[in-house]
Amino acid sequence: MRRLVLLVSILALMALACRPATAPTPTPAPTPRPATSPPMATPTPTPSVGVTPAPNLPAPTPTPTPIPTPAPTARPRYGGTLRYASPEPPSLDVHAQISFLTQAHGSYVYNGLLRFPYPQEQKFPADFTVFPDLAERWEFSADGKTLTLYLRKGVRWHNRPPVNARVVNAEDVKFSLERFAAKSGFRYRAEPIDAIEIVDPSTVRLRLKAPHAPILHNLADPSFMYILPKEGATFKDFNSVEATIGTGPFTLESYTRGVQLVYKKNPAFYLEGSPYLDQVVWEVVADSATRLALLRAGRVDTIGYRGFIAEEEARPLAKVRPDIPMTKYQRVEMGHIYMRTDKPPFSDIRVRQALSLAINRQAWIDTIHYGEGCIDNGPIPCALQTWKLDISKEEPAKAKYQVGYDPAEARRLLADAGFPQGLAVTLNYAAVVYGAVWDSRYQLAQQDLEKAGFKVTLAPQEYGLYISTTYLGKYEQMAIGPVTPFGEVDDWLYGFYYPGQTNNRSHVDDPQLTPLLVAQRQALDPAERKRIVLEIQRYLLDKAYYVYLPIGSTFSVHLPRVRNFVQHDSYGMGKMVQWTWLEEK
Amino acid sequence: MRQYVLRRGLFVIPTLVMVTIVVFLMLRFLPGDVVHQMLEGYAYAPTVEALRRELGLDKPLLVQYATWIRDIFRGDLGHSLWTKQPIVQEFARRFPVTLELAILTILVSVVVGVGIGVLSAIRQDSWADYGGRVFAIAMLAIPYFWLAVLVVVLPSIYLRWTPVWTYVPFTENPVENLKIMSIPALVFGLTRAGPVMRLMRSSMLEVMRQDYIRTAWAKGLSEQVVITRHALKNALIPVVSIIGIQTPFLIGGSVIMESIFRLPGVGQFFFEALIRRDYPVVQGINLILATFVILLNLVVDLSYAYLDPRIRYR
Amino acid sequence: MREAGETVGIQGVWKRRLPWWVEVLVRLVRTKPLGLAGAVILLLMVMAAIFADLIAPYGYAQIIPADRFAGYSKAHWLGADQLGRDLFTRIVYGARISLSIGFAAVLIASVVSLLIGVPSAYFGGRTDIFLQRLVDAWMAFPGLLILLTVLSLTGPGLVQITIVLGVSSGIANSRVVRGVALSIKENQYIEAARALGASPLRIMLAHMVPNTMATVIVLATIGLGTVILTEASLSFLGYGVPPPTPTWGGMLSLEGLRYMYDAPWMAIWPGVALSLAVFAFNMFGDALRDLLDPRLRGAG
Repeated sequence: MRRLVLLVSILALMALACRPATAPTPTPAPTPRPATSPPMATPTPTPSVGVTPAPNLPAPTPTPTPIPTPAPTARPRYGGTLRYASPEPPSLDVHAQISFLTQAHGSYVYNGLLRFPYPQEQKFPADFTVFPDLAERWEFSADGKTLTLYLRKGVRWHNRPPVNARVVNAEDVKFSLERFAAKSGFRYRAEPIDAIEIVDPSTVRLRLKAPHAPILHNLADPSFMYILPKEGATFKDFNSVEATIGTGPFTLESYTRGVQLVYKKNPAFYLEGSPYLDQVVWEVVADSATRLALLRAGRVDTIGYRGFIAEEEARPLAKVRPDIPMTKYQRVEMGHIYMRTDKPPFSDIRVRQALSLAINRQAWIDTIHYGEGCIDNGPIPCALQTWKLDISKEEPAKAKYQVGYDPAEARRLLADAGFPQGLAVTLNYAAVVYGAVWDSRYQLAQQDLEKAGFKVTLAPQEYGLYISTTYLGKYEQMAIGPVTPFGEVDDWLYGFYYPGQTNNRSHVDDPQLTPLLVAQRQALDPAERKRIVLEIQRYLLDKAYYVYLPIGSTFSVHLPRVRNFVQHDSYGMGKMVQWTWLEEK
Repeated sequence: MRQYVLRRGLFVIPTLVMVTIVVFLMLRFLPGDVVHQMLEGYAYAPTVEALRRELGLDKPLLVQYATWIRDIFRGDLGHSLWTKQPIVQEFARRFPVTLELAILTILVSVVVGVGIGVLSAIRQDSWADYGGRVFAIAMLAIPYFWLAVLVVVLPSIYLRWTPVWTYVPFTENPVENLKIMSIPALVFGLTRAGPVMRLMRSSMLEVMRQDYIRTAWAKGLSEQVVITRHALKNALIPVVSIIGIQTPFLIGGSVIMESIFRLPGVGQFFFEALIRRDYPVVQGINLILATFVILLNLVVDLSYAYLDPRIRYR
Repeated sequence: MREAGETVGIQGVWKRRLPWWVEVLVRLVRTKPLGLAGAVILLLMVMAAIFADLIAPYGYAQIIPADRFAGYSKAHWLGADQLGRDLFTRIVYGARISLSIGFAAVLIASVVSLLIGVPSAYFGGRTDIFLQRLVDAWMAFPGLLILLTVLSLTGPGLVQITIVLGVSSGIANSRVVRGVALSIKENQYIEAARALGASPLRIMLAHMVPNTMATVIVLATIGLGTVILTEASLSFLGYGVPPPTPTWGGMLSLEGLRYMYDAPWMAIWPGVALSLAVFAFNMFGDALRDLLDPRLRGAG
């Protein structure tokens, strides 16, 4: 009984994390640290999230969840092997492959010049403050067009031929950034860099074409610019155990394709005392039901990427296995309906607004997210609190076109736009690959739009077809689906609204908006940049270039013996595991 | 006979050439592009062009095909566009897994299928017939992937145990290997036993009514002798055919079994390559499997003549 | 053997008095309880599919959020799915798509396998070699690649899926049919017919096709389940029947297995419907095979 009370109270707290006080002008409440399974927590306070989802609880003022005090015994223990089940990375070469699995591998063995916070430094999972990594400090020139980076002294490569524990120097940095710019699918991120100059063995200077605020984030993001040894120029590629030579907390010991990757602790890692684990074993498991079975059987410590488990698996699991700690939080993610705003009928703002008003966002959260989620998830995702506009303080008459639900007005708008009999549309999406929740979303979208006077034909596409047509903006009318989760606000604004960007799938070309998009990326002063970012969001409120869909929570699971497995919202799983330790059995 | 085999052999090459050309073309015309998939939507024109050049996909189709054929004669099936691994090596590592699963599966399905099939034919419309058929058909009626998921998931819920674990090659540790392989083989084999049993029963009934069997009965031979020496051998023809049909399926189509039981076999490798449009992998594996299938069909055809000596190939 | 003899006797008596189909029916009832059960189940399913609009209590795409994951109740006999849609309704409507794809594809497959297998065996020699090399080539293609290519050219649709599935399994099955036909060809009655001057077409139609029917029926019954499930795997790739139209395969593998922890009935009932259909078809097919066997019929 006591446990039940505890569970219910924690549930209520969690339910608040992102629930609006009143519809239809929701407020993404400031998400506290992940409400559950905080670092050093003993398994007891980890709530079971599945018990009585609380969809209709009155929502008082959101209060940050108190961080449970670390249990007195919770002192990190050295040693042990962490096993986890995950799909296989398509390649080990972090510059040649942008897949998150390849980047996850990279995060064990490599470092960037900069990095995001470690668990003990981060304020919330989407905290993208930049910290020094291989570069110990950096400075912009007065005109903002030169970035000088000073390398940390004496950091050594893994002890493997032909590099043999050599000290990292400026030549490695130049080699790596140039290789990234030549090879990576994300090479557009290196575009603002005009030249890379070696000042001395431990100083590098980046000449920029124009001041570029996102550059620091991009250097820190573990999915982008890892530093590789310059000897790599003579390797065929970085896609083998022998060629995997980095500076990271782990070394790649062995790789049996289709079976497992084994990482060993790097005893010479530049941060003394880290990592705690002796070994990490990445068991290659393609099937998600099998992954979960392995976890339930106690054969692996965690599953999937960063312990992620689908909501439809997590909720029932929490009910029957309260002994398996589960973290629940709001991740940076976005799904939206995008449409051809460059041609009729969606060039008419009324049609777009009708679309947006047709979506019953609260009902979606109740139907597919067990009553918990965030309604105002665009243009900047809920979790990216640093940059997010507080929509509750905006004019409701405008804000409703971003988050409101009013099928009657939608019909009226459609009629005004010349479609009193309704409008027939085809909605493209990628069949199956994005999981069960997405499959439900497609059908809910169809239902909601039909209530508002649209006649919707669902058009599922094979993934290969989708990614090379619809996802590149090559489609007839409209489409629905998720997008890459970014940590840098520039990607959400410049990427999605600047004409010609591949992420600009709605073909937005708004002369009033475009200069603002450029201005925010050139503003090096954070306060000034934030002001512009907010202005952009205010401007976009009633434009309905995209229809933003509400999102649910992200769940992460691991066995109770796994401690300090703290979620950070980047591709840097290795940077999390670096601080994880295992309790004695 | 010899001449027949020779003549058949002559056809192998043109058949293979045709198959490779068609597969090559199908892959290129299938919507969805490997480059776009690799870039996951970050398809800026210069990026796309550079990657296409790097992968050699910018050359005319004819050149690409000719290069591929030339390399085959050098014993090189090329590299995966994604993993960059040599295909021959990757195939050699994965094929034993799939082959082992296929052999064990066929073993289970033949033992169970032929057993029940013969029993239910010689005791037609008896309770043994009903029981055996209900069992075999029930197994056939249950979707095998559903059964596989249950076998993996249910024990993990109720027993906190699951049959899945890290694959170990037979050559390294036969006991451990068989422990891992036996359950998928059993699941797969039982669900495949249905067709064997059905055809076995049907053709057994057919054969039992043939004159020579009647003669054998009339001569007063024991049931055992009539069944095993005379009837069974003849009745096996359709069963051999269906094994012939199923083997390519078992080898190419064991995707789901391999994925659920996490076996690093060819099926999953091939399937993923197809979904990812990893052209050289699809082409390479297809070439090997096509050769295998064609030779297998030859063996099946020749076995007809053995099983029914009246059949002659000219 | 002895049982078979009895069957022959009974059938011999009936044969002179009644039209053949009544005779088959009566024998089905009298001697094949399993086959009868199969026939009844199939009949019920087909009726349900035809009269789905009358039987189903809800619309198949009717989303009722409040009933999400509802268990068994008077309102939802078999429970409800992740969007609160009535499972019974969806299974009844699913029978339409799944059974029509299944039966039509199996029919096509049977015809195709006879068209290739019988002439190939009868003529032998060059014809056989040529036809069989085509079959070899076809079987050497990855089936999935063929399906994807054809469907990407024609676009997804019920008819296209049915034809593609039917033709490809028909070509594969033709090898089994040919194997059996080769054996039949060596029988004396074929020799006799030829000596009497019967045309090849007549021999094939009158003597060889009926004698391969047993095998063809068996192949058809085996194939039904595979076809229904293959439709689901096509849905996986975006070439199946698009949602919200329900199909058994889709309900089972796209939704059922994903929500099996929350709502096991979502994985159970479509599976039961599918298995039951395959089971019934097999039992019925088995009985039919026994009853239609020409040698049995003639033996009386």
